Amino acid sequence: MAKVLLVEDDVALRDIYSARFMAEGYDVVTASDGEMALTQAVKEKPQLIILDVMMPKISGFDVLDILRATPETKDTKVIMMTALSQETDLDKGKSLGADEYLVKSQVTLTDVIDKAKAVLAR
Amino acid sequence: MLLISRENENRVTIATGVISAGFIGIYGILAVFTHSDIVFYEGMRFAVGFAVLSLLYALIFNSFRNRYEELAVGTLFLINSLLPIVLIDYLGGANSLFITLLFPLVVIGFVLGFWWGAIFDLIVAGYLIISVFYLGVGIPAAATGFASVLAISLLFYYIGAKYRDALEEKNDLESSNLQFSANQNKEEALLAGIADGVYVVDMDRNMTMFNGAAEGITGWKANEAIGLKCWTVMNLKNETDISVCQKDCPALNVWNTGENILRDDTCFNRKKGNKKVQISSSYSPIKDKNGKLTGAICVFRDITSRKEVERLRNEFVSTASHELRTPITAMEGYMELIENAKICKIDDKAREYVTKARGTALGMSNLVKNLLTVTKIEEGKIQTNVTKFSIHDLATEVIEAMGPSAKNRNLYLKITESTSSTVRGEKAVGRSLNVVADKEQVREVLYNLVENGLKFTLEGGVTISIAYEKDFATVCIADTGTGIPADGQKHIFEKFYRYDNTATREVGGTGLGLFITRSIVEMFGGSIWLESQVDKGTKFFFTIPRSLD
Repeated sequence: MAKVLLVEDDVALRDIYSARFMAEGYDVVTASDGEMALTQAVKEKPQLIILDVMMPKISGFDVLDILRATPETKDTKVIMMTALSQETDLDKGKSLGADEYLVKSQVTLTDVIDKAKAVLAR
Repeated sequence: MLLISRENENRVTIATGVISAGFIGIYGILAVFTHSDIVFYEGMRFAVGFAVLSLLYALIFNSFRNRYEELAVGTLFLINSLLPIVLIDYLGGANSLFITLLFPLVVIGFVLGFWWGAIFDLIVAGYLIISVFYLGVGIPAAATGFASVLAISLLFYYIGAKYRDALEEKNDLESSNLQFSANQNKEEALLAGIADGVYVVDMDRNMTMFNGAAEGITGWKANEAIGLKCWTVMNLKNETDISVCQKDCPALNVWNTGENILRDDTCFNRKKGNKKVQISSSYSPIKDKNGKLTGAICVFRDITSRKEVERLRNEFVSTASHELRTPITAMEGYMELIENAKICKIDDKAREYVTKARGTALGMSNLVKNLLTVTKIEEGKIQTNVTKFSIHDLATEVIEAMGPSAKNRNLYLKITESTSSTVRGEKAVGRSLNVVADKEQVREVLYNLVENGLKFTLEGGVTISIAYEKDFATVCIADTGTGIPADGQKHIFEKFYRYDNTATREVGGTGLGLFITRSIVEMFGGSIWLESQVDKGTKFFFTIPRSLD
């Protein structure tokens, strides 16, 4: 079954997303900040990374930049998650190589699962 | 009493003549009483002398004073100096008491004028008369003494008069100035006393009046500001920092409409220090008594601190709402997991309660979302992306999206086909006409109004219809619901207003939806209103600007 790396600094959201993804049958690994995310991405080799944008230390955009620059992870599928809905951020995410960009307040948990399934199927 | 005007001086000289004549008379009487020829003739000599002198005096005074004033005065001075010399000699030389009296008389006559001099004169005369009868001084001496004293005082009065004239003119001017400035000062005192800034501009927008409070608020001194163009002193900018003076000048607006204008959206920079000052201002036209416009008056006050408080309050609501979002999202997330049969095994009772809890959490989530929207509206920070689009097509999209929700409540949701309308003389099919606005914002407005319609309708449904005018399209969302009574209609667009009766209390909602809807409509240049009848239904109307092609 596919492995998903969940990068989210909020403990409750991390808990909820993991439970949901696990219920859908995915293998889940988590990271609570950008540095951990990069380490886990290389070590665990997930098929999909759910990446939060607003994080301490380094932001989701920076993580994505580095992921795409690293040979091991440049093709990993990435869905960016953010609380912000500025159009400029959407374009930024897409241009840096995100496969999808979702705004947390506008999507439900089920939507995220559906999107993950769709992206993995590409 | 101190001053005698020019015309009175004539009377004075006449009086001198009269007094001389009087002397002759008195002398005559005295001569009769003393049965003395010597007295008579001596006295006569002096009296005549005095009379001649006085007449000379009067002549010179009146005829020459305008052209040969200095000369006349000099001559008289000379003549009048001789008399005291004679008198002093006659009355005892250097020891004469007369000298001591002469000096103060001169001073008094010069400084205080004729009347005071005359009074002193009389005192001296009284002394002399006493000296005649009690001290044995000769009558002629006494008479001459009296006469010359009078003459001297007159002379010095005259010299002093020039000085006093100047003084009088100055006093007159000062007192008339005082009167004038007392009146002006009353007005100025009023204006200076007002705590609000006041300024007046003329029809060319030159500053013509600028009160003390205006000086304090703007940093401009009145004498600097007056005469300059209004926009040099009060360079007003609106909330987006664009100058209003050319395109949205309140004075010009006031002259165009003829009515009072209130504004609290303008600000300017202080002259010194460039600090930004936000003001609340009231503009009124000034008309003359024929009703013709002569200028405009502005009364304004500094509301920077009030605006700052509002901004801080808004920031607090925004921060609090953001802080609320995360725990609410977590709560909703966990509840969704509980409800998910793949993850948790729960009995039916638990499922029922969790479903209700989740509904409440969803309501909270909507409230926080709306609060954040409201704070963004208050800050003016809503981003708009204005495009041209078909309102009919957008309405159809909304109906499709909300169809299931209506079906769940057994209500219909439809759009009436717009009949073709005549626009600019051409028949146009309604659905192809475009409007200009932010498409997503209009979608939100439609969504809010349809949702409201469905919420408050128990039977029937919601119908959208669109009509086109020359400059705008009017969208109507009509429901067959409970309706809103008149007193509720007045407040319906206010924040958190929910008309309180049993039907609405169960319906839920945040009370912010219509406030946000109205803010959005006004932002894209439209207006919104409603018609409603209790138990019959409600119709909400809003307008959107049409595109030009």
